[in-house]
Amino acid sequence: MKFVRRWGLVAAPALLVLGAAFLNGCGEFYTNTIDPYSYRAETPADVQAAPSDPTVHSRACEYYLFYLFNWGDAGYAKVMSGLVKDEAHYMIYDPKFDQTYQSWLLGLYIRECTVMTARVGHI
Amino acid sequence: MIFLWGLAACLVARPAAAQTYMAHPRIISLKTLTVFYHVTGPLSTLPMTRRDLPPGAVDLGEVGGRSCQREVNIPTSASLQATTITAAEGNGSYGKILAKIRKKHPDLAGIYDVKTDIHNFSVFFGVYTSACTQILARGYALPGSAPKPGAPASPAPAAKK
Repeated sequence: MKFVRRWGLVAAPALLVLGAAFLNGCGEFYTNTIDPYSYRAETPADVQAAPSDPTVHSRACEYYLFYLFNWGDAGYAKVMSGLVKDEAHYMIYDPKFDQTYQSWLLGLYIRECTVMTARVGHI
Repeated sequence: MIFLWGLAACLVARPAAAQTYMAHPRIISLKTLTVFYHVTGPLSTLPMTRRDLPPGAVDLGEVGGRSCQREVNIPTSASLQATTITAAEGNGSYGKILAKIRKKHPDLAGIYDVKTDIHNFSVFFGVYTSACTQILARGYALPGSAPKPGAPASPAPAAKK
């Protein structure tokens, strides 16, 4: 009984805050995210495209937790970073961007990702 | 009769209007009790790709910058849905960021391969909020655009190892 009373004092306000946040929307208490906004991609005509150009895949994600916290970097810069080692001579072209969502336990944990498939060509 | 002709003209014009280009401004919104509001945000741009570069353009490698809009919201009651007293200021526009990049690279003639992201930051249910526009692009210089005397030259493009 003592245990229930002690944890009730902690759980009740916590549930109240969670409920309020649930009704109010996600990521309200703390938000620190980077979202993709705009990008005009390079096309095969911008590089010396060849059939042997490698295809690269990449993803960048942001996360929501308990309807209160929202963090992560799902921006274009992040999803396209680190894919080309020699940026002076090679470039990403013809990218396809998608967004993917995964949600668990009534949305207590959500993962939102920007997914990219592109090719790397010689400049 | 004039009304019927007008109605017919509107109905004919509607499908064309649906295809009109719509810009999506990214600007901190105006609230009910706003005591100060002076914000600028990105609206639209058509960035260049490599093929659009003018002849003789010299690649300067990766360039980038960011600029922010900020907002403070003071709730008028102890409720998450409370009306807030708001003040917002900042310039997160493309123009401001480009000016910042030009300051760092005086020989810059333009940018291409532009990736634009929005960095959203908010604490304590939105009491403080910021929306920063950040650009990562590649810069180019033209043969005639020599750096001003005394200004530092742009660094060489950094190749990753």
